[in-house]
Amino acid sequence: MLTVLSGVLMITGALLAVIAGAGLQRFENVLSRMHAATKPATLGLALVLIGAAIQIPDPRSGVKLLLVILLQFSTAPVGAHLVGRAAYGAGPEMRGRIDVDELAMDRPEESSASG
Amino acid sequence: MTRIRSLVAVAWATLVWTALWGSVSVANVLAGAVIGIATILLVPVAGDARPAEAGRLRLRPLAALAFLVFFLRQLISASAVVAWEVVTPGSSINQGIVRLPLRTRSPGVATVIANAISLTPGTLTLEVAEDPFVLYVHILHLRSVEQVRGDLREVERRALLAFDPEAAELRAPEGDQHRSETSS
Repeated sequence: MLTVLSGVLMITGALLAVIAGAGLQRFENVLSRMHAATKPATLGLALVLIGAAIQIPDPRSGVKLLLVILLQFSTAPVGAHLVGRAAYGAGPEMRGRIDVDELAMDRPEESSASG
Repeated sequence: MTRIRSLVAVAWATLVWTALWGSVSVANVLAGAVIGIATILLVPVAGDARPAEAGRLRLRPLAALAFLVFFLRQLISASAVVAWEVVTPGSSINQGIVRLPLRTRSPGVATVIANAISLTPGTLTLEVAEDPFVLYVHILHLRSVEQVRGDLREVERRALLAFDPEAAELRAPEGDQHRSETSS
């Protein structure tokens, strides 16, 4: 029963990682790629590690895996934020077409700057 | 204040280091402390220049648990949406950037909200303005600005209930007002 559970978790997690990779290919600009690269991959990693923790009887390994999940969850958004911000600041070619841009409304000088 | 925060950071680093090695031994604790101190020396803890009444992060355990559950549900459903977008042919990407003025004055609470938004697929915190905090959130599928802003407000509301109940009482600032910034 536990084996089935951890198997399902790990396969789902691996699928999410594959989808994240495919998303990098399919999406057209840096900003939308950041969505594909960071979020499903983070959840995927968490699922794989939870699956692994169920399989490993030693509770100390569970603590380590939990720590990995916590660190991933606290650092992934920071990285995504910085890359996204840099891409936005780099100019229109990196940004792609944005239909509604309230940041540009508030700070026209910053978003019109070409990089 | 900065000194206390540095000490806390070193203690935390030592704890994490020991947990990673998996056993509490003199060597592990010492090594963790040395590495923690070295890290603090390399990357000092930022001093908090804000006045003390600027608001701090206050944890309400039950509401925090509710926020965690809400966040995990969002994470899973939104991951499914983005995954579906990737595997189905055709592109319905409709990018947008939406302004979200925050009611909290605490940098810690603002960080929690910005991180929760960034971790939820489909939304990514792109820029943060201070005094007062305003998040600019990149949206993968923008249909209605007001609807998205409502969803983001819901994330904010639940985070405030958990970490800054006083700010949760305040009226939400109008999101459709332009905010002219002179500096960032």
